[in-house]
Amino acid sequence: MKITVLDNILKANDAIAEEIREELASHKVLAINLMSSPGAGKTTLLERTIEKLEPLGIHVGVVEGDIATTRDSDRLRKFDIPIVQINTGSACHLDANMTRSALSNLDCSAVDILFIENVGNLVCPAEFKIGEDHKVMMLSVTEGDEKPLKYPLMFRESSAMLINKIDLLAYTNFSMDEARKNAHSINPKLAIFPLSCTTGEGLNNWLKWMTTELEKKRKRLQKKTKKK
Amino acid sequence: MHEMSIAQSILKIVLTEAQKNGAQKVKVVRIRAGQLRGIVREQLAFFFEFITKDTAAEGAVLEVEQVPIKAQCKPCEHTFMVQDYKFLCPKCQSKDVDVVEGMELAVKEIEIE
Repeated sequence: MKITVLDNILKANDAIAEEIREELASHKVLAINLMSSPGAGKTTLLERTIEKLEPLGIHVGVVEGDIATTRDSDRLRKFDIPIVQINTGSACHLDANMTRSALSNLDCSAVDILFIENVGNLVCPAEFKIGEDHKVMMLSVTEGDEKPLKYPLMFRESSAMLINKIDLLAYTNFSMDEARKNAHSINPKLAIFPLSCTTGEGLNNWLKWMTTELEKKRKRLQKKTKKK
Repeated sequence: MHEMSIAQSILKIVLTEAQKNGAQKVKVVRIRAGQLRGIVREQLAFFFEFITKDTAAEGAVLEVEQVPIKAQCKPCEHTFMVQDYKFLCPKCQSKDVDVVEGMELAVKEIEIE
């Protein structure tokens, strides 16, 4: 006997992601799902970003996704900010369920921007919504400018792409023009920020993008409450 | 490796449907997977076989229908197939296009007895 099902496989995950999104909206938190391959510089980016945002009075919270260790969150302990660690065990990505249980241990009321650092991987994290406002992916110049063509979903789903380690450009055959062209052919709306977490070059553009997005979200939420 | 999580979600849906319909055994599971989802068929089948052991879906054949990417241009409304992930309208050259097919990931039907 044939039974027609037509059931979205990611339905359960997406429903939890929506709950997280509502919970975060109630605290006026902007959530960023940060993704990259291993070693692109996600944790260093967070260090540089927290250093710059905290003096501006913008409070950061971090959910650290990692397969087994707490090394990344240990690096962030020097900051006086809420951090919660998720060890995914063998899973190569975060999903909404893991994120929700992590967030139950994090006080969002004092957070303006929440970074969810995904497991280093260019494939699987793109597949699972975790309640974020934006997916932001980081590519480093040592990885090659053809990556957008190899991992199209991640580039298609992201709002912004950071190209890290531009201080090493001279030592690689990475072409900034080629990377932009490849990324924009998959996602013409992608905001692209070349930067170096080592020298600090280009970081301001990224900070400005984030603070603008935070303002935009708050205005949207304000309008919504007025309507109610 | 997202295939493992996806296989688990498929199994959940399949077993719920099987129980609802009083099935003893699930023989075939047909899923639709959009090309943008990047599902590796062999890997998905491997995990599915592994996790269905000792369930009503043990031994079920997993058939994956790959759905190519189709897009619609927002300005001129032309619909076209996307080749090599180039999201560009062949008619008016606009890059402002919506994906209308190629993102699906669904259990389409099951065969039971």
